[in-house]
Amino acid sequence: MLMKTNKILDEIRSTISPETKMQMELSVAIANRIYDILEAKGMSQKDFAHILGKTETEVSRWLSGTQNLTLSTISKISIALGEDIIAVIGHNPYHAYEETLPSVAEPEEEYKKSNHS
Amino acid sequence: MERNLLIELLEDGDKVSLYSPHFEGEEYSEFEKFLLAYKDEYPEDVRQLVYRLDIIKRDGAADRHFRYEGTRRDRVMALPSHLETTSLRLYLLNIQSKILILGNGGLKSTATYQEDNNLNRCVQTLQKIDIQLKQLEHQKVLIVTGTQLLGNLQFSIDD
Repeated sequence: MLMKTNKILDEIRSTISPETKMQMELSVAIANRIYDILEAKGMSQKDFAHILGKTETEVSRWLSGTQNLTLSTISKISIALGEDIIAVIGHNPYHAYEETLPSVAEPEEEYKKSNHS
Repeated sequence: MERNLLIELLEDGDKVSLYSPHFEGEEYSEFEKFLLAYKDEYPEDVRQLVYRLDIIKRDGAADRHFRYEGTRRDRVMALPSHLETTSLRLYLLNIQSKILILGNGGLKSTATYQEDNNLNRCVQTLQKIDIQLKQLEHQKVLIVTGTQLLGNLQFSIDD
């Protein structure tokens, strides 16, 4: 089926740079990823905002895909959700971060060793 | 003043189609007037809005992609320019996440749209159209089938 298009929109489309398209695709994809994780975890926007110390309005803007999120904000969101939001080929940021955390069992094991030896 | 208008199909999309009110006697629809008014002065913002609409046409028009405007009773929403380099706002009606009726908009320099005569008028026009559309939908004179709005797309509003 031939899709109807609009002449003025087509003229503007012809001037959109590949960089603009990629940046917008990425920011929408990031917003969708955050939304999907919240849904999967059954976490409300209100709870998520509370965890991060942000307002619901701010979280709502993140999820709209109309915000140019900084790496700092993406990192905070990733840590709060415990999931990767973005990935670089060959490297998963959250998992790499997780590997640097001490194992929860380690201190207890050390304590037992020191008290039973 | 009573003004006749047509809800005109601008573009089809896989998941969402774009319509715009076109007042009788005018050359362009409301959305076309918005594009023509801002495309030269704010080219990057307008490009972002157009590409955002392309993504919405392809992926869907979930409410979370927009900002709620108007009142709880209506379906008026706003689409900000993507990366918010300016405060350009496009106002629209989101019908069942299948159809966007794109209105006019402008630069938002006040805390609320009501404080700006132009933006307030843009929102009020869409609110009046929404009231008419709801009546027509209720009467089954207008139906949404797939991404198409079928039925009587011509009516008048007091604008």
